[in-house]
Amino acid sequence: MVPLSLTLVGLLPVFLMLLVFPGGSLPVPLAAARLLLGLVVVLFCPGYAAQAALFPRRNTAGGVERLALSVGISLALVPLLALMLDQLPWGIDLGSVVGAEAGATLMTVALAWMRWRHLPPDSRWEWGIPWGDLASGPGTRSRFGLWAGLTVVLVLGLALLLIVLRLAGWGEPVTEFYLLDPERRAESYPYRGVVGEPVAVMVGIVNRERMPVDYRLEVVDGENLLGQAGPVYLSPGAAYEGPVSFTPVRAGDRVRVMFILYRNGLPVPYRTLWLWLEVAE
Amino acid sequence: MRNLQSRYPTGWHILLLAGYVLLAAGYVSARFLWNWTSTDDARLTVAAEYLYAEGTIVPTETYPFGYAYPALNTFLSHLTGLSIRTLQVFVQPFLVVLLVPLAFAAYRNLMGDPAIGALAAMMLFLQPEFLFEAARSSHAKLTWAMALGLLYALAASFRDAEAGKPIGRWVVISYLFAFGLTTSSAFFASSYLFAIACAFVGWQVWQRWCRRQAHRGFPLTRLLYVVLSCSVLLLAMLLWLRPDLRPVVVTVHDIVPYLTRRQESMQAYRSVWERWLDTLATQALARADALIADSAYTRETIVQALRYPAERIRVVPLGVDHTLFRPRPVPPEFDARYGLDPGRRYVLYVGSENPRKNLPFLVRAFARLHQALPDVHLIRVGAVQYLPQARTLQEQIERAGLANAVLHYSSVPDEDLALFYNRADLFVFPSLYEGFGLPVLEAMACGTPVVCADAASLPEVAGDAALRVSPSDEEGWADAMGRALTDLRLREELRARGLEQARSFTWERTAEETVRVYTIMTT
Repeated sequence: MVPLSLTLVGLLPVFLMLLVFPGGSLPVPLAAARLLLGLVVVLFCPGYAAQAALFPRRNTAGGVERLALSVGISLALVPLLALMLDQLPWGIDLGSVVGAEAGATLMTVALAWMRWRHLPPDSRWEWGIPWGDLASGPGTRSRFGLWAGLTVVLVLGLALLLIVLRLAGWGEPVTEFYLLDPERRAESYPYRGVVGEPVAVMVGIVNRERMPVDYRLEVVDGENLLGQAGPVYLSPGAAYEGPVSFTPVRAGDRVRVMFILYRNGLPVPYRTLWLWLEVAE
Repeated sequence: MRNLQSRYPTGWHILLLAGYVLLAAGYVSARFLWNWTSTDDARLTVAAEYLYAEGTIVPTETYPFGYAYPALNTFLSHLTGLSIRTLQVFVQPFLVVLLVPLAFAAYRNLMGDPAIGALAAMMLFLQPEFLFEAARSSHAKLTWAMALGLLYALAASFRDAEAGKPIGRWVVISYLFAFGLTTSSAFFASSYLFAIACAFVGWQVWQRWCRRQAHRGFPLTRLLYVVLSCSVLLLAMLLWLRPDLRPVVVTVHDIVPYLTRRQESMQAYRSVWERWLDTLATQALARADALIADSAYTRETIVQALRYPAERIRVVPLGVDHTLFRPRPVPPEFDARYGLDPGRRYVLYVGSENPRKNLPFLVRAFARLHQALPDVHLIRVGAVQYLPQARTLQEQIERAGLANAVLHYSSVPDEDLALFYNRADLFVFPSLYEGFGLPVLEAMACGTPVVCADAASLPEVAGDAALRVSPSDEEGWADAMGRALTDLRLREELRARGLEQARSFTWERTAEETVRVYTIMTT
């Protein structure tokens, strides 16, 4: 008979497949189930089965150590599986990732089961929470005290966290400032230019300052102003993404073009970004 | 100590520690929310999004130190259904709790006592810098998980070795963690693995010469095996990552299948085998010292899609065999051999029915032309390579009532191909993607006017010697073909310009420039 925990660990990726493969958007409870299952299948299942296969005997590793191995091996398997999928024709996509995680888990579950069933019944390891040890036996009173203490500490911690967040606010005031290529991707940035010919990029600004802000953008190369944009008025939470072009004025192999964001008419640069360009005459 | 070990409930410690770490992660997540975009977490997000979108771990300039964290985010994103950004902001900070059991296991085995192990793990997480570093949405927690896991596996192997138990499985686990560490942060891993190897060698020396009496039975050979196997692993990784010592130059005609791999209609790969070969080829390109591209377009696609440095790609155009492809009279028996009508005008296309060649479009444009000029017929020369597309094309031709106006010659000798170019009144080439477009030049070399697509490499190959029209503008194509067939002055102009354009492409020039690239690479 297959141990309960191994059966469960082997079944979880299968449940996940049932949620993932029909496609389309899931209702909230099923989406939540997918979130939890996804986390457990990537971060726990393959490692759990692997440690059960490596240490099928009772008393060869402690409970926390087995947990550490489950998590650690699951994490370490991710780059290995990614490398394998990358070398295989299918690449790394939804189907191949689910297949790889499920395959790795089921194979190690099978291995663990084979090793486990060859052991004498009394030396086989089986996962279980020692509820009995926690609630009764010698030292029950002190354990009860620890439970209570632990609960109090965690509740106090949570309360403190909420108070701090209440005082300091959720999220630090910040302005997201980023560049994209003309097709709105964070890659393929221009890396070459010609003196006198305009170069275009997309600039993104997201106001998370919790107050309305007037932004202004300057594109400079040292002392030379190459282009400017704005003012852009953004209410809290609002975002702006738009093209900005600038014209290089001097040639060089590594010309640093600075994008400087100013706010509310202040002369001090608030955020800066830069691009390195190879500029030809 | 024995009493303490047996009575001390370390489980509580671990639970408390996990609760504290989760609270701290909640704080980091709530306070920093979107601010991660201004740190290196943003670069990792971009790298993970790239991996997610492209489905490959071809290294990007965005984050060159290792692919493990982007891979982890991609796996989680696929399986949980959350976007990479949501994962980064709301989930990754909480995963720091995974370090708790690993830290405890590592310290417990290093200290040999669970209570002291739990205390040491707690001390680790009480360091604000460590906690913040690990709770951030960067690769730090994965790197630390692998580092602590490696420490744990090696310490546990000592424990088992001292007890006379086999340690083979710990060696396997060490390999796994060392691999994970190397792929998570190559920079950190090189010094960490080296430090661990040094520590073990030092410890071994200590055991062997200074404490020989106390540990007479210690299995040194096994310990040595652990150290050596880790070093071999590291060496293997370095060799794998290291390029070949001899310079490698690769000529790339195009990477069109790779570019169009996500476009269903392009049918870039017809079999798993083709897809695999292309994956290998693209990876090999990334490791070459220099590339030779047929066209500036191919060069740009390599730079954009594979992130290959532009300065290491030289454009060397292909050439035309001017002894074979030249203007010459077509003997009357040629028409008879291929069943052509001597009094009829022909439009020629040379190539396969590969979806990127855009043949269904050509048939539609030709149908419009045929309505205006019914005497004009279309000839296609080229073997059938894509059977389903060939069938669909034939059906389309029949539906359009062009069955008698479209001729197909599967394969013809080179000598006859040159005569087809000469016989044709117009050559057409409507490709959506081309790495070069040799038939365009061959037609020009024979003095045939050309209408081609204004796409991919064709503008640079055809220059202004052809009528270039967007490969999606049917009306524009029908109009251009009509003009190129009927406007005598335009025909003469295209012919003269085409001959001039083709003259600049010779195989001698291709050979000279290719040799130059190889000479530069070897000297």
